[in-house]
Amino acid sequence: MSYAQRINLAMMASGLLVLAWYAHQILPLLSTTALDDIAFARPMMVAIGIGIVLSIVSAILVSVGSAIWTGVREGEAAVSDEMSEEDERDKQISRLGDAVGGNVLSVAVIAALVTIWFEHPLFATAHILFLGAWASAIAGAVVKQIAYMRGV
Amino acid sequence: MAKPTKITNEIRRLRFDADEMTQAELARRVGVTRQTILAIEQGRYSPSLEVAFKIAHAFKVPLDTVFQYPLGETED
Repeated sequence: MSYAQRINLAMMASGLLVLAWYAHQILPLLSTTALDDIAFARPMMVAIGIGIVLSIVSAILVSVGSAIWTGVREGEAAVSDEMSEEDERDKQISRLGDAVGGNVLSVAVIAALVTIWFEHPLFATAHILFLGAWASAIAGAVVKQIAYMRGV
Repeated sequence: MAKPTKITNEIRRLRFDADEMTQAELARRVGVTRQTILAIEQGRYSPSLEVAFKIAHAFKVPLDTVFQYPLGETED
């Protein structure tokens, strides 16, 4: 598994953790509170913040872990090679994942606009955008993983 | 995405002939990751012309000694 692939997996895991945390905060309220009365803004902002921090921390942990693991297995000289810039295959896979993620996000933005036109509650618009951004990131990461495993 | 490339290659044999050069060593010479060399060897990735030439150069052989494209079998 390449360094870029490990980073991609770490980002995907971070995204899933954040979504799980946010769902744990909001889902219990759906059955007891009207949509307009659910205070979702604060947990959503916290989730976005946690997501950013978690992505950075997980990337650092993967980098350090990869360096140690590669150093132990293949020697110190191999570490810089392992951690070097992504190559053409990584970039091609990255572009593929970004394209898929971008398409998912576009659908979410259009759906959010529709909720505004039809004057749905702010809760719906905000969550379509939030979940759309999350789904975009996850879809992109999944496509990248598949491309790494099965080829491009 | 998952369809293997029709381009075949002799990288594995050439590595063996080149004093059992490792994938990591070839990757270092070409400037890609070891995983990319592995993917090319297994036919899961078609490299750019630049990388293809670099691989041929690493083995000091012509490009068509490393890569082959079976003409006449291109239609599905």
